[in-house]
Amino acid sequence: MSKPIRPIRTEADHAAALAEIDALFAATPESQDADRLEVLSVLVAEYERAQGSAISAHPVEVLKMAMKAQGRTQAELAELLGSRSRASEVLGRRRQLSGAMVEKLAQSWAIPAALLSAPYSIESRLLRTLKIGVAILAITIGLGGAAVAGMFAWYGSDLPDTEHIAAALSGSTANVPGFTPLQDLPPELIKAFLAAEDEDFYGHAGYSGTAILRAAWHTAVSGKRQGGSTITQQVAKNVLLKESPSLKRKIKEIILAQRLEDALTKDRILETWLNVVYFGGKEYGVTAAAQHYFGKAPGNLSVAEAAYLAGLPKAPNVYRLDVADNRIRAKERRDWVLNRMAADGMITVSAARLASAEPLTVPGRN
Amino acid sequence: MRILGGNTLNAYAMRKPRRKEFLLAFRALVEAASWRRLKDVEGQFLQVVDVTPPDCIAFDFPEENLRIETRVNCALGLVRVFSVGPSDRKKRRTP
Repeated sequence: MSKPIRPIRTEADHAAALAEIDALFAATPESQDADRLEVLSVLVAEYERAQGSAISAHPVEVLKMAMKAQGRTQAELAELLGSRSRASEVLGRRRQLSGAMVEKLAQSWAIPAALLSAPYSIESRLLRTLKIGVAILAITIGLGGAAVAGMFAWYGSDLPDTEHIAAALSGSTANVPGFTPLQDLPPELIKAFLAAEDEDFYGHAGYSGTAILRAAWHTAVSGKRQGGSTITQQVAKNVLLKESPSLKRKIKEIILAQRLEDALTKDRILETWLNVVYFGGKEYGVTAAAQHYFGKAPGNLSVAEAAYLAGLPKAPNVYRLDVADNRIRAKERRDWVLNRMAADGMITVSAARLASAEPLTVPGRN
Repeated sequence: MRILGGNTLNAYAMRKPRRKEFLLAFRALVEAASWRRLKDVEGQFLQVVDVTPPDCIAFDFPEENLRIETRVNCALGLVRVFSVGPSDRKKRRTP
């Protein structure tokens, strides 16, 4: 005689019931075993229902599962529903299964209508468009980034590396006529050049992304080329590159600027630049320029004179006073440099005003 | 059909949340079915069943990398789920 059937209250009861079900599973209908199996299965199913979650299946997942089970394709679904877009939208949960669709699926593919009729939310067109937009943007940014990285790797492969740069520039500028070490230049002169050319020189890593983007925007909008080069980039351009302006040169300039920053100290880069930068005519380097324009050594320049010289490298032929009457533009440029110096706290506002009041003259030419 | 051992399906869905909706759909379709003989199971799940007489049926979904092994007693309307795991067919397809 078999033992009595007990309610299932615990996991142990459940496991024991399942074990007995397995033993009786092949029972034929109308037998004692079948009756026992049926009662046990009711108890087990009820216990499992109480233990499990009550989430119902998503109609679209049911449809997909039924399609996979029967080996049906999306094309067949499109034929059944009347159009490819309808099938695609249903499978992508962008369209509700209508009553007519449910009926067709139930009749033709024997999918229970009850499973397909549950309501579900669909993705709005706006949200979908937004998602596609974000995806396209992400892909574009990714591809653009990869292309830029590839260009940098390609152009950088034939440029001198950090060690070569360090070796090449270790003593080269010391041989420049009139070479002046940085420590021999007055602080106001250095400040003037930094204010005019690269106020973030001691903060950036060789190039300024903001300045490059600003210059690119200006060039694109106005059609006139604008610089955007840091002092480090200018050293790279003037000392290490001999190419004419192009996108390729700009990329090489950035790569070399980064390598320069790794190879040399900031002071060494600034010193190199101050000794090779072009000031118009035949004048290269700050010492030659100070002598040419003011007949003085750099250490004897006034703040106003230093500011004038600092304004020259941007466009030497526009601001130089020795060949044409550029006095108004030159004074504007000098005063702009003085204002920048005051704004950056390099000199006081009153010192800037005093210097602005000085007339702009080149000895022997006025 | 009445599913027994459905907690095996739940446990697998907990471990592999991406399979949860698929397993729910499987459960719903099986519960809604009323198979009278094994041929009915084969008819409804034509592409995915592996039948081992007298009553063992495995539902194997290679695309979902899922295999559900069961015993089916059509006469009493019972489906006993034994195990859920990775697809055998997918393994066979991948040398």
